[in-house]
Amino acid sequence: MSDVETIMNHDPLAEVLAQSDDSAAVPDDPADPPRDVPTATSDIDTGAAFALPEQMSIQEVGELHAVLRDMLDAGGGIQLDASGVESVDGAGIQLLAAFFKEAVVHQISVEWAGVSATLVEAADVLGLRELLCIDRAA
Amino acid sequence: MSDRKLIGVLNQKGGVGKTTSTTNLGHALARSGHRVLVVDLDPQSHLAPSLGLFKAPRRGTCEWLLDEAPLDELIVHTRENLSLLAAGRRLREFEEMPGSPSERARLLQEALRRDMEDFDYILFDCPPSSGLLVANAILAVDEILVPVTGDYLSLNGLAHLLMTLKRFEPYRDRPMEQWFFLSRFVARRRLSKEVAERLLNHFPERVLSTPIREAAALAECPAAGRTIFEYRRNSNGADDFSSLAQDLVERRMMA
Repeated sequence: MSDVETIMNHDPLAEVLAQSDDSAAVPDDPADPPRDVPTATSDIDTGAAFALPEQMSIQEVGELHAVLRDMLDAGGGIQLDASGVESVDGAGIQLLAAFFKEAVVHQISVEWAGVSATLVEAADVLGLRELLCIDRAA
Repeated sequence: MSDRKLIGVLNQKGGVGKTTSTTNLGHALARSGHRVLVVDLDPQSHLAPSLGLFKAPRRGTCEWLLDEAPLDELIVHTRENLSLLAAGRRLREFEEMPGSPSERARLLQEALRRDMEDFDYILFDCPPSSGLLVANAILAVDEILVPVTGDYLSLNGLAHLLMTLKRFEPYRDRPMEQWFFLSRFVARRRLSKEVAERLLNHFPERVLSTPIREAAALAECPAAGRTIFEYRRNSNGADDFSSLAQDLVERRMMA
C-alpha cells in the first residue's frame, strides 16, 4: 500500500488470485454442457467452512448467531461441521433452523461436513430433520 | 443486433448496491440514448419498486425462463428507452424446481437466443448468492460489472465471486469481461481508500473511473419509486451514475 496506513490484516483477493488455474474443473470436451453446475445445496467447494461448538445451548447461541450471520452476509457456499456437537438445547436447534431458512431465502448453499448423533436425535425429536437437511450429511 | 451488451451486475455480498446500480446505471444509459432492458434475477424483486412499480408484476423472469412466455408480454416500458423484466412471484421458487441443474443453468442463454427484442444494453440484477440464478447469469452474459464497497466483507464477497467465476469458466463458450467499480464510497474513510488501492492493484485497467459516492438520496430513491435522475437531478448520485455510464460505454478506467 502506498501512503495509506493498512487496516486490513488479510487480503481475500490476493489468496484467490494466487490460486493456480489448475484448480478449475475442466470438462472432457469444452463443447459439452456443464455436468456439475452447482446448485443451491450441493457442490460447495468455494465457500466458508465452520465447525459448530461442542455445546450449543442458550449460553452460546448469541455468539454463534453473529458468526453464522456473518457467513450468510459474505455469500457463497457454507460448509458446517457438526460432528463435534455433544449437546444442543432448544435455543441451539432453533438457531440452526433459522439459519437454514435464511440460507434458502438468500439462495446460499449449506452443506454438512459431519453431524453428530446428538444433533441428529435433536432434529428428529423436533421434526426438523428435513429443514436441517440432515439426510444430506456426509 | 451484433453489438448488444449483456451485463450481469454481480457480487456475492449483499448490500453493495447491485439493485441501486442496475436501476440508476440503466436509466443513465437510457437517458444517453441507449435502449436498455433491466432484468431482475433476484427473487427479492426490488427492481420493480425501484422503478416505481410498487405493485410488482406478477409474471416476469421466471415465466420467461421456465414457461417460455414471450418477452414482449412480460416487459414493462418504464421510462423512455428503459424497460423492465420484473422478477415475478415465482422466481423465489426457481432454485427448488425439479429438473437437471445443468439444464436449468442454461435457461437464460436459451431464452436470449429464442426471444430478444432490440436492446443496446441488458443489465441483469443478480442475487447475492451462488445458486442457479447466478449460474444462469454467468453462463449467459458478455460482461460482469461488480460493485465493491469500501469494506473488508465486500472484498470477501468479491473473492467468493472470483472463485465462482473460475468454476464456470470451462463451461462458457466465450471470454467474459470483468469490470469493477467503487460503490457507496466514502472518500474520507481510511478503509475505503485501502479497499480502492487493493482493488486497483489486483485489477489494473479493470476499475471504472467513477466511484459512486455514498449518498442519502440514493437510499431514498426506491421509497419514492424514482431513479436518482428524477429524485435529485442535481445531486452527487446523479452526477456519479451519469459519469459511470460513460465510463462503461467508453471504457474509462481508474488510473
